[in-house]
Amino acid sequence: MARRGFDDVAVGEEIPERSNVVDRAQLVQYAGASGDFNPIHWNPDVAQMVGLPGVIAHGMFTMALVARAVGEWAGDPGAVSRISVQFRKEVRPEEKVVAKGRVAEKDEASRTVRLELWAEVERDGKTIQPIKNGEAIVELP
Amino acid sequence: MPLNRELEGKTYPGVTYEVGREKIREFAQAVGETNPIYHDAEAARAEGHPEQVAPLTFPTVLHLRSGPQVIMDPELGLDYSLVVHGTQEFEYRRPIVAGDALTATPRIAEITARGPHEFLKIETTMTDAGGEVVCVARATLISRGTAER
Repeated sequence: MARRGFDDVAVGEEIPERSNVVDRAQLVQYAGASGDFNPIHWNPDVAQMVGLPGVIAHGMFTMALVARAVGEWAGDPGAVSRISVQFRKEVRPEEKVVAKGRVAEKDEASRTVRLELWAEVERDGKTIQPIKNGEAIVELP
Repeated sequence: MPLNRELEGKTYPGVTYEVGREKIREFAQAVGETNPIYHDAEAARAEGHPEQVAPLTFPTVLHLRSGPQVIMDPELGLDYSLVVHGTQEFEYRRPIVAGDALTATPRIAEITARGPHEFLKIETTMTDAGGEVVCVARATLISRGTAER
């Protein structure tokens, strides 16, 4: 995978988005792979009992999509020194999540780039952001 | 019932986790990571890594094992059914690779309140067998409606 160079990056440019249509099988697979067996992610009865419309995706499953967008943009996950997100809304099965990001800042001295990150879902004709105010620090050659 | 603020700063015992190639592959498949460095040691070496690389959110696997002792701590008074995950941050010193034996040590960094909710910040430091810090994970758990009125 080609590594992105510091000089090839411009402040304001967007990183290629990554998307995923969530299905229940993915949530069961993620539960097993991560070890997060909270039933609100796979048992609709439990989800409804705690006031949710049904099962919801793990926040960390959505963060993983955002992290994938960052790693693939950098061309090397080892270039990423920090990544953070805020979880603001739930993601439901059958919804298409789109992970997005933009170059917010470049620091010449340390050859680091700060990305702003978020994730979007279309619901009831509106765009909502299950992940907001995300950020990554990436060190580029 | 508000959380016990006296536990701010409390460090819990470290939990050691051996990072295996198949576990990394399983995790990479679950999150849709197709880059061969997550699936194959040779491909990772060709890209300059010492071994098969773990995806960026893989440390989740570790703090899901070290975290229960914090959230189930009877002295903390957390009702997990009221909890939502508010924020997550990972700070990396180097990529996690297959063969790492990482010890995840959680600490209650801060307990604050805003409006009706309380915010529990847990910082988990992951060190390798040589004692070097590999990753620091910081999570905010929101305890809904438990703040003192």
